[in-house]
Amino acid sequence: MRAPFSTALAIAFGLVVLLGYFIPAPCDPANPGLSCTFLGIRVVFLDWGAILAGVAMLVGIVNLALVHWRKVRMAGKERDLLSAVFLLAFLITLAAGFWFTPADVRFQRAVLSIQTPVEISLMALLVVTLAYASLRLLQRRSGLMAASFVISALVFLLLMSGLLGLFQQVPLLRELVNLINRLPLAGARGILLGIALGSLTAGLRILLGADRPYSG
Amino acid sequence: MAENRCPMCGKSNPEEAQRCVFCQAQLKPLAGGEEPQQPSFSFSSSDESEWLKSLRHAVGEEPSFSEETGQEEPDWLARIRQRAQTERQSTDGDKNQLSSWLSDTGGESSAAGEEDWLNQLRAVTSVSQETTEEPLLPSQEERRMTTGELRDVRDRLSRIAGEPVDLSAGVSPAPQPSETVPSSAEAEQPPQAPSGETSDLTEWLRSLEYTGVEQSSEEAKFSIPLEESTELPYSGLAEFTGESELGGGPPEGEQPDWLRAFEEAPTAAETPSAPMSGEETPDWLKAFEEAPSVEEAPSTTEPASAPVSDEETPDWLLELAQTFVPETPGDQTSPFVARVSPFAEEIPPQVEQPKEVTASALQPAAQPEPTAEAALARDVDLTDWLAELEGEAIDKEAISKAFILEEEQPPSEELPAASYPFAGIDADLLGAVEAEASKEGGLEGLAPALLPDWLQALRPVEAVLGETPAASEEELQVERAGPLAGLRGVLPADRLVIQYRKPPIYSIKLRVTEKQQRHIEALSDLIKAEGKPADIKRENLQAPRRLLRLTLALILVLVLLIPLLVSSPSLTPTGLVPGEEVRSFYSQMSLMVPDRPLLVAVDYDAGYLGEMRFAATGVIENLMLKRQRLALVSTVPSGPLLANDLLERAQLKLTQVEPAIRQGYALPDRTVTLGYLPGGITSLQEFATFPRRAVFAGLGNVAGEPQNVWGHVVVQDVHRLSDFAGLLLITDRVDTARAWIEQVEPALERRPFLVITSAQVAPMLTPYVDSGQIEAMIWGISGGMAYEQLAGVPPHAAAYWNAYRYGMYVGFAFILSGVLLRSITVAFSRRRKPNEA
Amino acid sequence: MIQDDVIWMLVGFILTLLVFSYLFGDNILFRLAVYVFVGVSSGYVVVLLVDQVLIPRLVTPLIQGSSSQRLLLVVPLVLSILLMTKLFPRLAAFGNLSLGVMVGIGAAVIVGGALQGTLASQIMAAVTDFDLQAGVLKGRDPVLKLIEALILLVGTISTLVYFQFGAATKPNQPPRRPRWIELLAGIGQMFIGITLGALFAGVFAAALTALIDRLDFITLVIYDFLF
Repeated sequence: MRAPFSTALAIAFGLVVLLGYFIPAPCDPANPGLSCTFLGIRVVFLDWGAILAGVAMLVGIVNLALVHWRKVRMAGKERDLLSAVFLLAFLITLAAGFWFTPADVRFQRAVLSIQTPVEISLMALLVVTLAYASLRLLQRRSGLMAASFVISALVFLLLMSGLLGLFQQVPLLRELVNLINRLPLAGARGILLGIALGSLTAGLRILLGADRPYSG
Repeated sequence: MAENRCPMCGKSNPEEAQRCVFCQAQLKPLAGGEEPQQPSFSFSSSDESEWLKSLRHAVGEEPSFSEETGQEEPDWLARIRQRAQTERQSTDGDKNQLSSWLSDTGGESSAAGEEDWLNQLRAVTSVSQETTEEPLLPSQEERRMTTGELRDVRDRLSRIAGEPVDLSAGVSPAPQPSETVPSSAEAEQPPQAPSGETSDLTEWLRSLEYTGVEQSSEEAKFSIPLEESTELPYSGLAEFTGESELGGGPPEGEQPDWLRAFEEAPTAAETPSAPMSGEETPDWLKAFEEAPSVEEAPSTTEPASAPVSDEETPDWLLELAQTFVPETPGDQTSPFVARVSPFAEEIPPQVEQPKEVTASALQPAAQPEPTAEAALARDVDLTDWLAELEGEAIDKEAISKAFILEEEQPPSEELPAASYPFAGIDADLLGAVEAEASKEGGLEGLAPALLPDWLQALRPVEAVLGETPAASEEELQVERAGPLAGLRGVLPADRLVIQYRKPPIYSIKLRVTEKQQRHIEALSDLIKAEGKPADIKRENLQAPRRLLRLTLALILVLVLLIPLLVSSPSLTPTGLVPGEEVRSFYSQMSLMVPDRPLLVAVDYDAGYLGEMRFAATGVIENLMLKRQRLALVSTVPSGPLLANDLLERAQLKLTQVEPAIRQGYALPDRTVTLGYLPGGITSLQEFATFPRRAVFAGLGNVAGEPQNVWGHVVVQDVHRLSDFAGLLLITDRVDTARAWIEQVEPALERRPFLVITSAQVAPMLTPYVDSGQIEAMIWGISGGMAYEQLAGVPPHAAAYWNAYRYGMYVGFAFILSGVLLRSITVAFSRRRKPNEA
Repeated sequence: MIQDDVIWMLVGFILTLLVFSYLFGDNILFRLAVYVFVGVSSGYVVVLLVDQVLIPRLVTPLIQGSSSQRLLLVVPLVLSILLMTKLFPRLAAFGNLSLGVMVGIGAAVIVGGALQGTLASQIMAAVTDFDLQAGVLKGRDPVLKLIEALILLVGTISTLVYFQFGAATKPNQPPRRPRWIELLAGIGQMFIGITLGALFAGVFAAALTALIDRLDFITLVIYDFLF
């Protein structure tokens, strides 16, 4: 068996956390009892998990910086000068953050002033891409799903634009509009149930040791 | 068909066969009807080769104890048979031809003497031996020889051994058939050695004589050990016969002593009897003198004692006799026997060549001293000197008679086959050999390699190899490679291969089941499909994509810019009707208790800042107007920044309408940023269970002054999530919303859970609204503006709403255009196909 | 402050234009903007993690905390150090322990949340839709309510069936689902298409809103600088 100790730890920690879902909470501080002790241990485990998640994110970003550092040090055509731009921005932000702290409004403004325009602009470019894709909706695929997709998109574009809002004054049309508004609910509920079932299965496989994504 | 096993070689023969197909030994006894006992070894080619070899390499060499299981080589037997036949024809008149070894030995024996001697030996071999506890040989009665006959044979052998024996003179009268073989007691008495001149002969013969239990270890090598004196020398054959039908040796654990003696290096050799010639000891006899122990024939049942007695009849004699048992019942002369000329005369004429000679006939007497007969009886010894005999015209009859003494049984009885070699020796042959030996003054200077043709034919190795260069090459060839490099006489692998059976041929046809065949076909189709280029539908839209994208972007920009530039800022949005969900949201916000803080989760990215500003600003303004305390938390890294930005924007916008709001709603006093939850759903579960432990440090801890935000006035009374007025989630992702709903919502204990989200997420969160997990939800710019309209907060400029609407119309137009374009294209293509058809 | 606002506004304006240059294709300007964005964002995240996780949860309690706090922190400290070994390929195996703890806890939370947050509630909601009395109280027509409930139920089930691709295999035949499942899957396809169409419209709307925001920003900057 690969990584037996890691598997044992994963199962042990997971079972303790999972059992906490079935123990009533909160416990009475005046009369703690065993359930309070167990919940206390569970909270400690959750705290450790949160700390490890933060450290994992830190490790990922440091690895990203190392990758760009290696790219800068490469010779010839493989050298990427834009990696130097990344490292420059990274180090400057790092320095400013440790200097000004994240609570400083100036630091926050500076970061937001760089993040917001870029992200919003990228989002704005998506409109053009969607517009281009909407012209070719039925050219790649055609079928029941494609047809329903196109029709639904058309209808909901109109609904969201408020054009059909005028029809809500008429009772029958209001019901119809409401029904149309609720039609996506069926598909969304099915998709959510599927996601939940899939998550349940994946989680149980990990808790039972069948899947070990950490053993690599 | 019942098997008829050859007692000589052990091969199975047809039931009706009289002679063995392989070794030509008599299968059925000439006297009696008993089936011969399975000899422990057979006079196989390997045996022949071993005893012949040992005769040759008698000096100082380790006995070549053949471990061959006596694989029969029919080829040599066939050659032997042929030669025997030819020799029979040619030896009739050639009695006087003696081999050089006979002349060396000095033994000049007349043909008559030889015949007598051989006849006596034959009688010995043909006499039945005494049965023992483990009877292997035919009835001893059949092999009984008179004492006198045995003595005569012994004399003959002694003369041959080293004295210029005048066989004609010294030949004792042939034993009368009436004479019986002495009993075992008599047999124990050593035969009287011939006088003076034959003392040497008798010595070596004596040395060859089987002495029973009293025999020395050296003698044991020449004889079959008897467990008791009364036992036949071939009692050890039981072990042999039980071990292998092919005449192989007994198992190692069961090897008789004499056989074990063969395995041991002979250190001391029993002094053989004196050579036949008194003047000069022939080499082959020297070998007997020096190391008679070397002359072992482990696979043969050569007896050590004289064959004069039925117990001591040497096996080699039996084998030899067996080998040349006449093919026809009446023919009692074997080709081999015919060559043994010196002894042919001495074979009593009355004693005919037995049909089958059993080993019992050659069982040695219990005499301690070897006799010439015993020495001669050893097939190992005889083959060499016999091979030197040139006389093909040796009287086989005479030779055979020399070895066969008178039997008690009538001659018509068919004696069972024996494994001794000289059972069927022709007396004439023996006589011829003896005569030659006497002429030449003794058997001295005998070259071991000089064998008569007929004897050579007996040797399976030579018969197969035919003294071909290959055989000699084998012996002389020195191995040059491999682990046996430098050794001589290494078995060549190619010849060994010939000996092996043809290896079994296994079918190479692969068995494929039906399921496997289907899989094979599917995989092959897949691989073939990989090689084929995929059919790509030709796109009818020929305009460059980049130009098209630019055009579309231009259209969109124009459509959006015009309302932004043209519309008046004070224009109210038209066509904006708050829906049911907006009203529900507004009602929930109105019901919110102001004395409790509201937990606001800011979980959207900076990319959705524009939409969230339109959607959430109005709500925050409304809350500010209500003086609602807000506690902000986030699970995304940019959340705290965006939360502060949202608050500042809302306050800034509100200040434009109500300037006093800035003092009335001081952000540092009315709001608190709890911090960042790093672990995603894990942190949310911790936050739901123990919020004070999940987030407590706020922002600014890098400066080294961490503060516990839970001491802030806004949240100082909050210990559990249910202590909040409610939860307002502002997010742009389905997963984030789902995480908050699954982990945190149960801990709210029926506190309102409100969501402000993006238009792209709203359809996926509608089920949670329908299930009641989300009290109310608004999304996008439309929801926000509708809420602003309901709440009466300062709305955003109608220009944004108009631009949004026109943009949605353009999107609708784009999709509709694409559908229409596709329809036209399909319609034209369908028209074109029938026309083309 | 105003100068800072102007500076940052100009920075934002430039970055917006650099990103919009992608309309003409991938170019160095666009990539420059993206690399700057990634660098700043990464740096900010590191600062935030140190500020929100390492210092208040590990460093400060180890320095100023009680003995029991320190004892409890030994485990996450060791696990954090082991997790950092993932940066070095030779030592990466040591980080599996920490990953195992994280994955185990995360899996348990996912399982618990899916059970109590989505599965139970959504199934109950699908049944509750047939509560006609509640619909009447809300002013809904019961017949229409019933039809709506049926449509939603059929849509939900057919959507779930569409994603079931298990089929019995028969010899010499490709695997095929039973006909009734194929029929339900076809209906599910329709409902999924409707949902995806609504999502498409929502994405379009969100992106359109972003474009509106940027265009407004650009015009505002131009207006402020020119006028």
